[in-house]
Amino acid sequence: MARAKCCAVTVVLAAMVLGAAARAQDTPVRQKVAVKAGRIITVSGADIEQGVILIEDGRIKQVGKSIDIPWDANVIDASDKVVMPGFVEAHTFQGISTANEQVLEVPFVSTFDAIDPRSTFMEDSLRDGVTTMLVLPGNDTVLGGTGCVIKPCGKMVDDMVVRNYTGMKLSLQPRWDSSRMAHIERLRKYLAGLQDYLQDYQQRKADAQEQKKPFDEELDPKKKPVMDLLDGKLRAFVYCPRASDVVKAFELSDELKFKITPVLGPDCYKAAAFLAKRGVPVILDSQLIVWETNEDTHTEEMKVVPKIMADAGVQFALQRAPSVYGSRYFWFQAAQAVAYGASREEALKSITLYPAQIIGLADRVGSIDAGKDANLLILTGDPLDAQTWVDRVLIEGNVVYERAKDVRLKKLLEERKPEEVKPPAETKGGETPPQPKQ
Amino acid sequence: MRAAALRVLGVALLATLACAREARTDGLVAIKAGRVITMSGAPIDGAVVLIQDGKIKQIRPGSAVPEGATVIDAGDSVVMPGLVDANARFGTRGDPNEESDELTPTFHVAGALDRDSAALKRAVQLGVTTLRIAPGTADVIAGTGVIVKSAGAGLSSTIVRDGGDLQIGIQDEPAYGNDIPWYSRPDSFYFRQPTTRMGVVWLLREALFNTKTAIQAGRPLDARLAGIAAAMQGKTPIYVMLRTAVDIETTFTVADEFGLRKLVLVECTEGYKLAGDIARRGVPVILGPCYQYPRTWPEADQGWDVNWNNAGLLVKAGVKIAIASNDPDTPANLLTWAGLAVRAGLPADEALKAVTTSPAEIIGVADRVGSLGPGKDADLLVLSGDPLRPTTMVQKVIVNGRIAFDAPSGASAHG
Repeated sequence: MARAKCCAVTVVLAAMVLGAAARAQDTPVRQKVAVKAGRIITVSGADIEQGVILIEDGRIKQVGKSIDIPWDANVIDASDKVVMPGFVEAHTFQGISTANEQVLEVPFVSTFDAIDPRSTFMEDSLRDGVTTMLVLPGNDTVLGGTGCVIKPCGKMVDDMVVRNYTGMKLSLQPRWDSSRMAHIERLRKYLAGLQDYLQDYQQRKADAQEQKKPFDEELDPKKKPVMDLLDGKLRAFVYCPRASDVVKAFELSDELKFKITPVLGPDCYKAAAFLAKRGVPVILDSQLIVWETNEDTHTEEMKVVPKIMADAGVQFALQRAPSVYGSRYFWFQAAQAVAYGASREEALKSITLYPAQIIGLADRVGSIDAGKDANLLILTGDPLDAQTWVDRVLIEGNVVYERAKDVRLKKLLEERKPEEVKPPAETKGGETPPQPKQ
Repeated sequence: MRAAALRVLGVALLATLACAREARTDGLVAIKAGRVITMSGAPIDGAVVLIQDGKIKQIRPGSAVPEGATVIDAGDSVVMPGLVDANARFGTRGDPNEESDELTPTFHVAGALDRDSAALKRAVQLGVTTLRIAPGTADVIAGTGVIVKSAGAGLSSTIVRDGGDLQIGIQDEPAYGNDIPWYSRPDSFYFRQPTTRMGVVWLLREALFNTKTAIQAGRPLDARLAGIAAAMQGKTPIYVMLRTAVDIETTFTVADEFGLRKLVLVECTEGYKLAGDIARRGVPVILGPCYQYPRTWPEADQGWDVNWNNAGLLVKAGVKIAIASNDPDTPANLLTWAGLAVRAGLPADEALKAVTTSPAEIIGVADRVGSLGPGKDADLLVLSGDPLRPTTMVQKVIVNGRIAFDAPSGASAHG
């Protein structure tokens, strides 16, 4: 153990030295940063006009109106802009190579092993202002595996990780070849098997102690995440495609005493009253508007899920749909909720503070408060306006995105002339033409 | 209901009171608006829109309402013309794609129109009042669309125009899934043409050539050729379904070969690459569906080069554009799409035109819809705020002077 500790210290020291060297090469990072903002949307409290956010060592030190900016602080002038906390996504299965295992009970896999730092999803997320997200396995399994909280910037997975081993995906969506009955039975069977295993294990341990024999059998690591789930160390993110599944999810959580966050399908607006009674925050589907045919009147009724949930008193976090025009932006999702009658405060919280609470990181992200990570968005205008762009993103005090330097965005908006065919460059005798860099 | 009854009464009295039209107040509906975006002139702050017999009678500033008129108070709201979806692909019963033939110029979408379809009822609630329902996209010559109102009392009041256009496809889509099964010969029943993009263009050329020679020889034209002939002679517009720059170039090549004049480019994902050419030819473009990146196979496979500012760049070059849904079975929130186009660089006034006047002009119904003014159809929207803001909701939709959608308000709204 002592050796391991020593090793760890060495590694940390080495990392610090290397990190410092790398930083010195990139952009110089000062310890103190002051953001002068035209308007600060703190989310947790009232907005502050013409305020200052003081950052020290990546954390917010002070937020307010009349704050003295230290002489050695790196000042970011956003006095004509709006500053708000980075968006937090409580559930996604994008940005990993394959979201679902073929085998249905795989609690031991982790998205940490599949996160792809180079995927365009990460780049887009940052561009769209997402600074923290919980990447969980997909919805096509029974026990899908554990998740990992990341920030969408960094060249290596290790650089991106905010907190590994967060949340376990349980899905109540039966696979195409299975029924709901069989699906839930599968889950119960696994959990019953686990309890049997634990009983046997305890028995073997007790027997060994009784016989004064050494007992060095370790618990099956493949089962460990589920044990952690049942011990309350992990939270279950239960995907409920239908309203009836919500009831099932709570039945299971009551029976087995595990912590639960329902990840709802669009149909689950019907369970609003039930969810309100349970008082558990939920994650809404990215499809916020559901059409339902009224069989009596033959009319199409528009059901606006966030509005229904807000009216029922259910606290929710919003999701986005990366491939849907509009819905791929968190601000758009929140604006949709507001358009149909949800309050602006709730809508803004549903993309910042509430998801932060759900993933258990509300002490670090989700609002602009002293002591939290300096994950800030500098916006060109109001967040719920379609004409507003994310101008800069700060994660832990570092500027990690600048719109002015966003080459891909420029390419996506600018005029493109058909490429001209250039004549081959003349080469002088004896000189070799420049080779493309590998 | 009362308004409807009054309107019936109004229609009955119309004949007898025609000469005293100005003085009539029966069936008169007055909409008090905080702001009226007419699309034919500058927006008017604080105005009353008077509607009678399904038509707009007058738009006058102020808030004075004539006596005897039914008042709709939208004093805090914005009133604008109903949206025009120039290329919808919903509102029909069954598959809009004919499987037995690649050339179906005689097919009318009106034959499959389903006025009771859920998609049409949803479209109304999203603010669409006029739409051109297009044929499917799996055929080389797909047929002719139908222009309808999204709500109406009967079939005759729903249909604005049946036919009067021809839709062709110059892209890979008609070739998708066509192949010679390994177990059959090329002359087998199951062998469907075309299997390549070359084949698509060839079938089109062949059809155009046959029509041309028939016209030149003075032969009587059968129904199939007649439909193509009308389009070839510039009597009816040709809607070309296409996406890539190559498709656009091919379209122009074929158009030059056969002297096709009235073209409309639909979808046109890579239009921005040839914006100058499109503008020079005066060809209007109907954009949609809108997306940020190519979605899934086969789109991603084909490498469509998406530019978020496609609309803005086309307008900058001088192209008339419309933003339409063009998604199978799904109506679109066109105001949202317009707002996002503005985000990418399209001027706001152009974005509003792209969902009202421009589509109306492109599909040839601008005399009736797309803008607000005396004599125009009383198709209008009551919005909670600026039409291009994502926080704005559609409060009321009026089609032909009747309330087609009235958003529930209060706690039960949308619940």
